[in-house]
Amino acid sequence: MANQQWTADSIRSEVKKLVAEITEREPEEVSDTANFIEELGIDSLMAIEMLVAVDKKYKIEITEEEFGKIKNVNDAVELVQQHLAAAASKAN
Amino acid sequence: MSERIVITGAGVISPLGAGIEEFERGLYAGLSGVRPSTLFGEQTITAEVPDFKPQQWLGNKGIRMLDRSARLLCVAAYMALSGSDLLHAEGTEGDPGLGMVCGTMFGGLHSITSFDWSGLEDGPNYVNPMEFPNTVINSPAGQAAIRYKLRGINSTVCAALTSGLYAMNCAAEFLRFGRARILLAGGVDELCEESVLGFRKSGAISPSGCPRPFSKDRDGAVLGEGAAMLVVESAETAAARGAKPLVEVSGFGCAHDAESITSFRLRAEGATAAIEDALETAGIAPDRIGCIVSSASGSRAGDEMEARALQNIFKDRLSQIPVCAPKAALGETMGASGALAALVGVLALGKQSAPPTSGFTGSETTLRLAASPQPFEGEYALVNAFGCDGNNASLVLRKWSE
Amino acid sequence: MKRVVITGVGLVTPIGAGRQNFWKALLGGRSGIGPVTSFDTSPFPVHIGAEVKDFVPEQHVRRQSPGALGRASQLAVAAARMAIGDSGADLNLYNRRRVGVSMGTTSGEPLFVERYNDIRKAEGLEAIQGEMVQKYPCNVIPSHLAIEFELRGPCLMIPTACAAGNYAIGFGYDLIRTGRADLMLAGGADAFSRITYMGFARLGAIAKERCQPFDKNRQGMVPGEGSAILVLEPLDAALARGATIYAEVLGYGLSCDAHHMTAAHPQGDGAVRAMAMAVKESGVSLEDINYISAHGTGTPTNDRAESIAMKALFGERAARVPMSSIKSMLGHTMGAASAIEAVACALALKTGMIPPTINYEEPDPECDLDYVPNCARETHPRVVLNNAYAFGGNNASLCLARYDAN
Repeated sequence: MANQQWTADSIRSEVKKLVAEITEREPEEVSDTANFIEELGIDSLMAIEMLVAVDKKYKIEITEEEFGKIKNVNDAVELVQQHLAAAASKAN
Repeated sequence: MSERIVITGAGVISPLGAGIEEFERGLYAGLSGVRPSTLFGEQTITAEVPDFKPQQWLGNKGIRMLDRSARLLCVAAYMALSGSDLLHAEGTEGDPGLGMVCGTMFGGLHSITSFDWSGLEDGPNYVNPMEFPNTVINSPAGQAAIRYKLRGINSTVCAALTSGLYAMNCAAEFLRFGRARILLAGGVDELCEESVLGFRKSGAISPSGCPRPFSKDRDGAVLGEGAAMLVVESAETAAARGAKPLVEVSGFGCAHDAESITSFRLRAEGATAAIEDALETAGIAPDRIGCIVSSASGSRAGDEMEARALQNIFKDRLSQIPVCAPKAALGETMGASGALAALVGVLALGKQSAPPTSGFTGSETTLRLAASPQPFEGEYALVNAFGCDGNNASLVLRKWSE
Repeated sequence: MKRVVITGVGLVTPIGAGRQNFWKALLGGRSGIGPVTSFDTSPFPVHIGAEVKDFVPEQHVRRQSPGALGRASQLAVAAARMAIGDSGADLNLYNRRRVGVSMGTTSGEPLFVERYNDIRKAEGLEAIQGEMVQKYPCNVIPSHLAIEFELRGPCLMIPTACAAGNYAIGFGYDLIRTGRADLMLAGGADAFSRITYMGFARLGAIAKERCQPFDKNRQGMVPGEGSAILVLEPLDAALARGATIYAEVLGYGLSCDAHHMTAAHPQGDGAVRAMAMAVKESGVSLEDINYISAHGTGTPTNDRAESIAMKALFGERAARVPMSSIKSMLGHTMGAASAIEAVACALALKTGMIPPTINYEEPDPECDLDYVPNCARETHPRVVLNNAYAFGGNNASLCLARYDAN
């Protein structure tokens, strides 16, 4: 299950790709710090869509509450890494 | 309630092309939209909307979550609105008198099936909630309303193959009641793997891949897809805004055979009654009909039923009336078929010429179909939509005169 | 133009079937919400629903083979049979070409979609037959009614989701009014489905324990199922045959928010316009309205927007117009909801009693109107509005009035 090593870079690029797709932009237009709600226009349904896609990709389970706290790509990458690390340590 | 209701414009996206001009050109040249499928593999013969790129009309934003039905409908609506000077200006509120009545048979069949499938395959926790709205049958019309700020009436109607004509009539009645100022009325249905597979297994599809309406050797229908939206308003509203009426919506009739949801009623009582009703509400006798746009698709039973109904109504005169069967070129487009047929009626009355029935070889039918355009002199066109679920509907259109 | 009246009602609901059972349960504040039994809800965070209990299709479907009908059609046939019986109309005396069916639904017959996928999962696509494309399209529901009762007139399904019942009754009303039909069966039907349940669960819209419309601590809606059919006919014909008249249909209003697929317009713009249109078409004034059957799903956003819309339209008078949500008891029966609610309105007009909003415990400052909390009330309403709001921003308001024989 959690055998794949996801590097921070690969997670970042994946998250940006996802945000870009959901907000109908190019990935290059999505910065690490652009605020999801205010600058990128992500509404509550789009947020759930992101959450589902991230959970599916990394086989983790981020709660809606946790997800509600993240503001930008940096936060998202950190949260994914936390969950991956927790899953890895459980597996060991 | 004696308002004259007229059609002043239309948008269409179909197996014969996009926009009225391309549609008319292909139709009258006898072209066919029936060909090996690019969506489902070339072993499957369908009438698809070729190379559908909605971005051409809709731009790049806000179409990601629209399913194929919604995209087709939005394109047709866009063309109808822009062609009639009805697009709302950016940043404005939209018109509460402008609305839509959309006929459809399936809504977005692929959307609801794949939503349920993703729950089975991935488990509910990994299902994307953004896809849920697309599972309801009125979602294409709802999406179009959001996109074009259609704040008036927004209705979706479903009467299987007669949906498009019911939508036209509902729109006309809403206008007569003064509940709207202008309405887009028509229908949409998409092609998807579920419908292609299902209809093939149900035995309705032509094994030869060649729909031959009314022909003795016909062997079934070919599935198609598309959307048509006609601009419907009162003659008074049209005059006030300088819109030129093309035809008047003159009469409508409907009847149910009340026997089966899967087979055509060969004795054609319902189909006959629908035509009678349409003529009666138009206030005309059968001899005023200049051309007939038939519902025939190549179905062995369906075409037989329609031929009998036409015989019942027109009797000896039938062989003299130009008939066309647009489903030869468009395939069976289900919820869109009535709207596409109505558009054909509009074009036929304007040109005073019934379009060819694509691929017609003259193989034994007493009906007056042809492989080339058939000129006629006539004020009225009869448009039929008959289904195997027992629903039958007919529309009478009248060439516009002051 | 003919005046249009309701002369019969039939319904199958989570709190009981038939007019008398339904009305007694409704006035008694009985809830039909409980743990879902028709499929496994363990993958979801919620487990309650409003299912129809003890429904035996064989008892109601006669001219057709019951097993050939999907559940929504079965419920509709049952409701229609009860409605026809309740009206006392002898269909043999009618020209069947002038008797029709008008129905509303949200999902049609989704169990055939489920079955398609179950077969696909178990046996692969090769095992698929033509069942889904023949039986899923929602036009089958009114067609099954037409076949069951041999009705050969207009036959239409208006699948405008959670407002569909009102749209269908409106269509039936138009046909009677213009003299196109002599009798119409009009209503709505929806069956419980894992697809609908999953959809609302994923939106986070389903309440965990109960449905508490307009309450400060309301958590959401509860999916349900059911069917209601009303018999509509011209007033003169009803009088001529000595029919019981429940209420008169005065008119209706339709609008679209054109705002968002699942969220209501925050100021209730479309809701206000639909109500205003209904009132105007009905030839009454706002002051005449003395009861509202709310859409009242129990979600935080709907109930707030609905209360805002009431105040926007009725101004200061809003708090004096009792407005109850029977979804508190029935859950959200989707396309059947506004048809069931129309029946409740007709019975309220006939009996003088208005049903309550149950589970109402703590007022919400943002929802500060009279929601008829917890107890039915004798108010003898004369003119009522039945409101319904749907996915896609479809809004419909139906105006019914007491029929007095003067």
